[in-house]
Amino acid sequence: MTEPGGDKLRSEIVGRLTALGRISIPDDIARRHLAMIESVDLMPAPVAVAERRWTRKIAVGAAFFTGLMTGGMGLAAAGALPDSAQAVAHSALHAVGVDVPKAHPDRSTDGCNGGTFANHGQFVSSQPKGDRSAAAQSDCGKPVQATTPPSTPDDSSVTKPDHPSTPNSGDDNPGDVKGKSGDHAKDGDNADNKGDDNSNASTHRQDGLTNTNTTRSAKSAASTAHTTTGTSHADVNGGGLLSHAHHGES
Amino acid sequence: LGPAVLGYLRAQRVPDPEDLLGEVFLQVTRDLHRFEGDEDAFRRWVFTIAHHRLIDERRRVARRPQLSDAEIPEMPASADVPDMPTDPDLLAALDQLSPDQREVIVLRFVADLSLEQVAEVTKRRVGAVKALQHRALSRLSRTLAVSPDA
Repeated sequence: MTEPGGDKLRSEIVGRLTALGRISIPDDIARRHLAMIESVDLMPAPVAVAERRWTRKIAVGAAFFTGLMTGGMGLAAAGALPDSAQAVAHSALHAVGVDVPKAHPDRSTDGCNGGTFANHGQFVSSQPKGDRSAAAQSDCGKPVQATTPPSTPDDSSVTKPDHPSTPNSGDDNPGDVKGKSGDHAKDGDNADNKGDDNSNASTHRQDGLTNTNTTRSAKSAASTAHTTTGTSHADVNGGGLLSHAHHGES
Repeated sequence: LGPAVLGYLRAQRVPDPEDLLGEVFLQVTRDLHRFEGDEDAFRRWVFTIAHHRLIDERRRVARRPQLSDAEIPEMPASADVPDMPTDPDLLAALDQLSPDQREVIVLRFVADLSLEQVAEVTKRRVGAVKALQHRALSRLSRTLAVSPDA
């Protein structure tokens, strides 16, 4: 069935096919694409709690992309990249290629007494029954991002009651109610919040592409913020953290 | 990866592979926050994006109204077309494969993906990918064997 010389011919064909995928991208095309990437807002959605991780991902992403585009470091070495791409390439090209961000965030070890726990719940469960309140207050096992709250001085006045031992009846101070997690599901507030999420997403995106994904990302980002911080919506979606993350990268 | 993606798009006979390459990388950059995995997974993910963009592009071209010959402007012969080494005989031979065979053979060798990775990108079973690869290589061998340059 196999004709004479068939294997040799096949090897040659495979070699030619492989070579087709190794033709380097011309510099002018790479430069044009990099400029296009540069003009696009890389921040995908409003994210506050995962600020550090996002910043790192963007840095790695930009560097990674530079490597992808050029197929090497020629443009960066020649200083021929657009300014910001060149700066990124200069500072972070060592991350190109394999250094993709980890799937899971780092966990805090504060208060773990030397132990290692996959999450906060595991740590609390490991403590003796009846004496878990202190463990529950600890940061052990929580995502690192959740244990380093944003440095907004007004947060404490909204989210932390002065007397935690006194149960809040919920009918005396409507302003407090809004700061609690779990109240976001209430009728009108929920609708308002959803609207806010979508509008945030649409204002942060400048390109008009992949709108569905953007909305989903914004929602998931907002829900992440709810579960990990427990602070109010206004604080989580504030623009200051976003701009900080973005400026930190550039 | 850049040259591999460009080679993949060229071998798939995209009208403007450089433009589509830019779109692929734009999407890669935008969606990078969703990616989790190692280098192999990243490679597979990038080519999955390229695969989807290619399908989108073909659909878009299919919807676009065809121009008659009279409306096509005269183009100077390769005036501003960058001089890129290609393998025209190989590309012509690839044209003779079925779309499925070409998809598999290009992902397998031009994109340098494993059989398993090709199966994931194209949503086929590994056995089906193997069969397509075998038939594609056989056909390429026959085509290129009779080609004067082979």
